[in-house]
Amino acid sequence: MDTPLLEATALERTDQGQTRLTDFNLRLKAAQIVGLLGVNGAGKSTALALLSGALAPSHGEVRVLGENLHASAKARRHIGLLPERVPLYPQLSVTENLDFAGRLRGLRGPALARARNRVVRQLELGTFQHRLCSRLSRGMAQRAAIAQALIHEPAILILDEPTAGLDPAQAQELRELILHMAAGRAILLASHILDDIEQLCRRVIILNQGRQVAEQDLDSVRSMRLQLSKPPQQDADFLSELPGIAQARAQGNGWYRIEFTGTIEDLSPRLTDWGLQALIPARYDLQALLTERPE
Amino acid sequence: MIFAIAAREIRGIYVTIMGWAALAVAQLLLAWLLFTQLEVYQKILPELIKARSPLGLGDLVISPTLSSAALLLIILIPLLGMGSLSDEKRSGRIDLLLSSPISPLQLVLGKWLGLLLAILPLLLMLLVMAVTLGLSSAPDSGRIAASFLGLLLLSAMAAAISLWLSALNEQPLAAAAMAWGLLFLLWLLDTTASSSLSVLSLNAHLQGFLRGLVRSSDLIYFIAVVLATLVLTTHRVWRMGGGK
Repeated sequence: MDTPLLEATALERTDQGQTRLTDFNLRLKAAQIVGLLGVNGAGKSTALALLSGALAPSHGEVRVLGENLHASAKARRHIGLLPERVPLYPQLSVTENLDFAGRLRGLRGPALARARNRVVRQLELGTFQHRLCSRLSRGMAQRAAIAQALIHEPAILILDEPTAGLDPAQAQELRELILHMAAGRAILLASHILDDIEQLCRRVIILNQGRQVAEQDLDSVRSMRLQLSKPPQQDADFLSELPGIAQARAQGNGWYRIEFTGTIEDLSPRLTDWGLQALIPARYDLQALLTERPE
Repeated sequence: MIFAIAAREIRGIYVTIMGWAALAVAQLLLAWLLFTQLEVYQKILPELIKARSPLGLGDLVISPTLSSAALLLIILIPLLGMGSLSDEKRSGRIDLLLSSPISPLQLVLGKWLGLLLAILPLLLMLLVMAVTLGLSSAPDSGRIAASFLGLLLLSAMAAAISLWLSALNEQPLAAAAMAWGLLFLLWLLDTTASSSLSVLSLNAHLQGFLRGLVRSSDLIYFIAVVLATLVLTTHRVWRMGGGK
């Protein structure tokens, strides 16, 4: 059960002397959604291209179900990709695009028809299936593109900015869809939109300047905001020294934000000593996680 | 896989007005050329009979029309093939193609075959025109067949060159302009260049076929150019995928 569906080891991509990604490692298991976070130019797109098989690494390798992704066409059949730009042929209808994607992955005849009908049903594309892709709304086009990525029932789904350009309602709808798709498959999701990562991922990898600077298991970290009336110092160092606290930051007026891996009961006696006034759960501070790791 | 890509390529060309318009305009031009040649032929026919000239319908109507068709193909094929790979790059769809279980060679062969098959209706219409005209006289079927083989090889070469330049450019029009430039340069080589360069002349190699001669040197010329440009295109696509 612990065998990863996808395993990337020491991936590196260098173009014309410029390193776009270096020493990238990843293990993706079934039913796992992993987020890839980074500012523009951090190397997210390069990482996704390498992990989807669209780009070959300069060093390192990607293994999908034990096979080298870049040496085996069979291994690439297990990958479904949603690139950042909707990869549909605008002059073809939704079904024609789906059929082409299916044929590229070896589906033919009745198997192709069954697969197409399945994704049309799954993505609720029935009303639009004969419409030209150039006439679809952004949300529907994104759904059709996801259907295209899913038509061959890949074990691994790679999504690049899936909710970009969608209105809030469409984005939420798509997030729910992604959660639904995660059953039995591994999903790697790159996004600028922190809500996507917060709502969908339990693990996040942070890239900066082509390097993997952090990997955080969001389930193991809980965030709380607390107010102390008698803190021993203004800065948050005294909190950071407590066992089980991964990160602590002072927010002014006696407010602190902590991310901890232990239990709040273990912390309570000390916090009471420092005049605990309030203790409220906070959302994961991905923004801080993203921006506070420049090196 | 190759046929799936070829089928999508044909569909992509003929699902748009541009594909049909290009085909219609080309067909109209060819019909007009044919009837112009036929009109001239009818005017000079009494003099030909009087002079007991061996020149017939094949030499004075069908051959010149097919020669003009060659120029039309050189214009038309880059127009149809200009977006073949450049559009895939510009739209980002190339990532989807490269991440699918197809090799760069399969992708290139599929695209090339699609482009060649898309031009086939025009060649078939030309064949119908030539055969119909030949019915009224004693047709030189061997010459007509050789001419069509020549035009088919020319189409294969123009499609391969268009595809290669489409792989090199992200702008379809730039790809088309470069393909026109290269094809016309090759066409004109026999009129201006030294004998060493005229070996590369497209026109010189095509004329043999249009005269009904199937020479191995002409066959090798077309096949070599097609293979060389397909190899270059495959290498380019391989580089797009990071050289895997």
